Amino acid sequence: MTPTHLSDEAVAAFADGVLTGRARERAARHVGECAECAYAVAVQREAVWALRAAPAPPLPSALLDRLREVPQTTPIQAPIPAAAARDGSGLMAVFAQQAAFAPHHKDGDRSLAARIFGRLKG
Amino acid sequence: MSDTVIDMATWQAPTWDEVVRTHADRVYRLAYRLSGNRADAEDLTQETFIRVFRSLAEYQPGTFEGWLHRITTNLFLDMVRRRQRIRFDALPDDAGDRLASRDAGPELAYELNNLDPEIQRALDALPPDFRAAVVLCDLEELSYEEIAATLGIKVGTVRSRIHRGRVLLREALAHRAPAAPAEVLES
Repeated sequence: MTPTHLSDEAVAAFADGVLTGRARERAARHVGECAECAYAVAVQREAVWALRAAPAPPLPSALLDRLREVPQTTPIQAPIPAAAARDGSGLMAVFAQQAAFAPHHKDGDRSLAARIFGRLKG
Repeated sequence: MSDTVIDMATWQAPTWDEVVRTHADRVYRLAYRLSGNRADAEDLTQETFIRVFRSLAEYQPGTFEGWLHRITTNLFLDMVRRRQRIRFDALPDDAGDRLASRDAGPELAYELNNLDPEIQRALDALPPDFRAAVVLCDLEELSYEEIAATLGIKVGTVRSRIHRGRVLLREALAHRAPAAPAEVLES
């Protein structure tokens, strides 16, 4: 006789090959005997193949340019987290991190850190 | 605590340009798969990098990709919920029965912009929560645990959403089936 069918969760996990040990043995044995569950597993795999075969559009170059300019075009928001605002060193840490990611200008343009600290000094 | 020790003397923070060049393709692809069209994908990608820039203080080395996935996916789910709310608010009082079919949204506009309209349309027809789980699993190849963390749900829920999402996808694409033994189910 055929033991209980695999649960939906087990079907997905078996199709993805992430079941281990006993659970995997049980599932493999059942799928070998039960056409319904074997079909359910095949449906899962076919959906994955169809998805992976579909191409995605390439990143538009204009978007890439806008992303590169984010440090120049994004205002540093005034409300820094409360903990950081009370604690000067926390505030500095936030700015230091943002400054570390800022673009390195070869052309003498002021760095993000310079702009932030310039603004702070007024 | 993590076992990983980061040597702060030699670790160099990447420049913003490096961050963008390393991750932009993947973020855009994820945004495109989730939203199903280029305009929304561009907006989601840009908003993701703005969030990243504004909250760099929260970044911990080693979690950057997971962090990006989480931001992009949550921005997408926010966007969908906002639009559903707007659509709901705009409905006339007597539109009750039209609510029954939940996927009657305007998807025609997507068609012209898609490389493989059929598969993307099947993906778009999934409820957004299912779509997010399937995309993160099958296209971004995250583990169930990573998806659970990204979406803030249990692993069991991840598995059942992935299962159901794939079944719906496969049904939507049934006519282009390679070797689908449909009679197995009916026998």
